[in-house]
Amino acid sequence: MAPAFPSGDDRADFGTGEHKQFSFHDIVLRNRLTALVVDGVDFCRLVEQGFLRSCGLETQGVNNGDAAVELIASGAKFDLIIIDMFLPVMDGLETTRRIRALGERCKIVGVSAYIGENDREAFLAAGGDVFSEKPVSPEVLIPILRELDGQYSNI
Amino acid sequence: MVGTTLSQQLNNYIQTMHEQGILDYHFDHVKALQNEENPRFVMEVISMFAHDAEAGIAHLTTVLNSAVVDFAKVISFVHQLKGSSSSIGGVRMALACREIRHACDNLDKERCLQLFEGMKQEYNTLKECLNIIFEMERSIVVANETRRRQPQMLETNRHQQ
Repeated sequence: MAPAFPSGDDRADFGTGEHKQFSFHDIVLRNRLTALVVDGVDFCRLVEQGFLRSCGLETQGVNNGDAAVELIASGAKFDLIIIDMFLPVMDGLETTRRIRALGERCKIVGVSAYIGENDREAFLAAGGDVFSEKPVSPEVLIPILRELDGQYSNI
Repeated sequence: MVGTTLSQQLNNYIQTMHEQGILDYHFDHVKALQNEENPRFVMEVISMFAHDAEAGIAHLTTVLNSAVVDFAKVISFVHQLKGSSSSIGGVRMALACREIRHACDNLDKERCLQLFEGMKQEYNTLKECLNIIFEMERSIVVANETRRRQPQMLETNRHQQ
């Protein structure tokens, strides 16, 4: 059964009414996966890259949307991009739009410290896939990584 | 407590912080990133968080004390503080930031200032907690390094005899 992408709730409901708490060590990747983290706050970027590396991904980080778009435009390929919505220079929504306009079809997860009423819809309309409150939790990330890795979800 | 290792003391302290609602499970996720290859990760993260938070609070102090408050700037700084505090598990500070954001949405300077004082108190509480964790982590790192050096020192002493 292919996993549905999580809605962004920290504790995913798996249809049984139960809430399971994941850890970032709950996944073993079979394939090499790469991720780009786009976050203007150095501390947050360090933590986000740390989470992804602990899951076994190779990561790169940039601190603004322009740098992310330049990287993609230069031909860099990623399986996953995590974008903070609140970026200096160019915000996360515009960054997402421009990455999609370059033809990049990888999974894009938007994160934000504060989720307003229409933020999720705006992000999905910009071409994003999953929208989550910051910090991104294992409950959100692990199902995504399992799908990217071609694993059968056992949640 | 007799026989309690440094690590156990640290874990007990973190558990107490959970029970008091100062830290949530996001701190545990961050702590779980520490390993033998990066034994100072938690210390690094705490230092970075404190540096960013104090800069953010300084910026907010300036902006909120202006005659005419630029609420867009307040929102920007508060957003960053909420993201950072959430990421390190500082749940009460993050909630305080959220309240300031609501006050900004209502363009309520007085309410912002009032909530800002509350947020600073939460930051001070969190900082105190994280400083204790930092010192405990440092003690553990030093103890482990000393233990690793001991076999080498014993070997050196043996050769010298």
